[in-house]
Amino acid sequence: MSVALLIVDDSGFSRKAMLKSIPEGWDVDITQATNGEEALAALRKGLGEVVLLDLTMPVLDGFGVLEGIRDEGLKAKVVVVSADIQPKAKLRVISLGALAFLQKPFNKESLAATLAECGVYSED
Amino acid sequence: MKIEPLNEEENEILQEVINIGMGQAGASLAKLLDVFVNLSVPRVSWVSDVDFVDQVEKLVEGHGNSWAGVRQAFYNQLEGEAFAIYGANGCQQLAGLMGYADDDEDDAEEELLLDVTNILVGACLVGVAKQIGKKLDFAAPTLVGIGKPIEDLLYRREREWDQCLLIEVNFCLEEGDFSCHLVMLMSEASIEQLRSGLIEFMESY
Repeated sequence: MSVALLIVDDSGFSRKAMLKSIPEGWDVDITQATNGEEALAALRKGLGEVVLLDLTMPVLDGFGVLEGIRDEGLKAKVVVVSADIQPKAKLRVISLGALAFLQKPFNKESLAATLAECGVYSED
Repeated sequence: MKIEPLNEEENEILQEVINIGMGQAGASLAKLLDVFVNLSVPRVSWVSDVDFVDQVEKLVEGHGNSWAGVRQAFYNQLEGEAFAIYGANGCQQLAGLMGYADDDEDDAEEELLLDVTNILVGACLVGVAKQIGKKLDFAAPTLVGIGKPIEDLLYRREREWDQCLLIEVNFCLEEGDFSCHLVMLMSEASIEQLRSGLIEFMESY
């Protein structure tokens, strides 16, 4: 059965880069969101079993999305993909329930490795 | 020679490249001050040199006479000028975080602004240049003024170009009212270098 994958990033380029980097052969139904509010709306509809989440975004940022997921009790496996490389940003997203932090710029290999580490995708 | 402005796609890539540079600059600032830094979404626009000051005032929402500014030029394959604009309270908070006493000389505050600017501009632009494979060198930062309106800090001056790329990013601390706007101008001549670098970066995906 395919996995509902939600890609959240305000940058169109960054969303395209993520789309291109998704492991081949991973059976996913993709939804895209350009800010945190859109992401939460998609999550409420069950469109994000797995979420690739940017942090720095207008309207509602990635920290806000993680808080929303926690407060509303939404079920989502979140991988944060961000250029905010402060050690405290990583600690904060993990304490808010994200499974992993992937630093930008990422590539196909680092994305696949991170998804595999989180147990949401297996390379074989 | 008339330079074509960046198209929408190139702009989008630039914004992401700056986002990554800004992340590196934010992390350097966080480490220096041992604080958490809130980052903003970078803003990129194409402006004529005469509109530059007005545009920056709009971006920064800068009123009043209590701003401090440092200018740093960069050159080589990308060339332009960066301005770091600090709020007055922010300067004092910065001094406090760095453990400077209230009665320290003004020199100490100036030096601090120069150091912080050097770190932010350096990390941000080196981050950008590295991703797009371009060489970059920096002049030493110079203090333009403390306790001035923004207009005085950017000073209208003759540049050799009349169109430029205006880039703005904003760093603020979670606590206190320190905030720093980094405003960068890139020359017309840099645009072609920038464009070729951005396209290469895109093709790496």
